[in-house]
Amino acid sequence: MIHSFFIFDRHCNCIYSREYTNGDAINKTNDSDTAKLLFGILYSLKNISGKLAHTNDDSGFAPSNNTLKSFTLGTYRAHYLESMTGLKFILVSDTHIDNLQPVLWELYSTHYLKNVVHNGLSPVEFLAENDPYSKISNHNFIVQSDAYIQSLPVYR
Amino acid sequence: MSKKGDDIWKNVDKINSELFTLTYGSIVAQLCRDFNHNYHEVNNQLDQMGYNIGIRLIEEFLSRTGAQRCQSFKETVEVITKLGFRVFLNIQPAVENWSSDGRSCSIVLPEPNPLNEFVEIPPTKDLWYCQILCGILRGALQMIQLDVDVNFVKDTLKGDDKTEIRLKLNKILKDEVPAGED
Repeated sequence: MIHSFFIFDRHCNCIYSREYTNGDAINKTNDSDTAKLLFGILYSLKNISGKLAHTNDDSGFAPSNNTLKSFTLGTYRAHYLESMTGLKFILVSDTHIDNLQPVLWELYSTHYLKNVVHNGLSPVEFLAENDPYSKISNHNFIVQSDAYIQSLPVYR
Repeated sequence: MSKKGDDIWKNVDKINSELFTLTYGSIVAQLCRDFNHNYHEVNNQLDQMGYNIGIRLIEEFLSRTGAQRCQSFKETVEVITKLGFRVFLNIQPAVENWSSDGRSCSIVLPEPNPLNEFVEIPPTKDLWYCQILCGILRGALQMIQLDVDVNFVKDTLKGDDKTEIRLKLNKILKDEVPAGED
C-alpha cells in the first residue's frame, strides 16, 4: 500500500506532497512538518551513505555512487530517487513493497517531464515556502501522477 | 555511446530541419531589429534564451538517456557531443584542444551546421549567430552542478575555418544545504 508521495527540489524545498489515505480518498497535506522531517532523515542518510563509500578520486568531480534507495522503519518504507539535477522523489509505502525505483523513475521521466518541464507556463525553479508558486499546482501533473500511482498493483 | 545516441535519435519526435533553421533565423533577425542592431545585446539575449532552454532540456536529456554521473570532465564532454548533440540536433561535433589541466576544451561543430544553413550575417564581427547553443550548454551543465563558461571563438559564418565553441570548467557546485544545517 502506498501512503504518500513527495517531491523536493534542489533548494531543499518541498514542491509537491500528496497523501493517499485508505487507498481511496486523496488529500493534499498541509502538514509541512512531516515533509521537513522526512527530508531531514533522507538528507542525513544520503550524507552517511556517501561517506561510507570511499572514492579514490579527490577532484570532487563524481560524488560516490553509493546512493540511497530506500529505508525501512517498523511500519513504513520510504523509497527515494534523486535525479542528477537534484530533484528528489519520495514514495512512502508499507513494508511489503520492496522496490519502487522503476515507479519513481517513471514519475520523473514521464509525468514530471511532460507536465512540468515541457510546460512553458509552469516554473521549474520553485519559490520559497509560503509563496503561491512554491508548489507544483499543475492540474495535469496532479491528475496523471495520481492516476498512475493508483493504477499500480501495489497501490492498495 | 554513439550507437546509443543513434538509437535514441530514432525514437524522438522530429521536425523538419528547414522549418527549424528558418524559425531560428527569424528569431535572430527579429532580435537584431528589436535591439537596433546592437549585436552585443543580441548575443546576451540569445545566451539568456539558451540558458532558459538548457535548464529544462537537461531533464529531458537525463530522462531519455538515463545517463549517470560522469567520472571526469572529459567524460562529460564526450557525453555532450556523442549523446547530447546527437539526440537533439543529429550532429556529432569533434572535441579538440584540451588544456593540460583537463578543464577546458573546444567543441567543433561539423558542417553543415543545422543552425547555419541558408544564413548570411551582416558584415560585423560582433554577432555570434549560434550563441543560443552556449546558453543551452551553460544552463544544462549548471543544473548538474557544473559551473562552466561557454563561448564561441570561431564561426564559419564570419569566414573562419571552423565553428568552434570553447568550454571552461570553473568549479563544481555544491549541493544546497537545508536551512538550519551547517
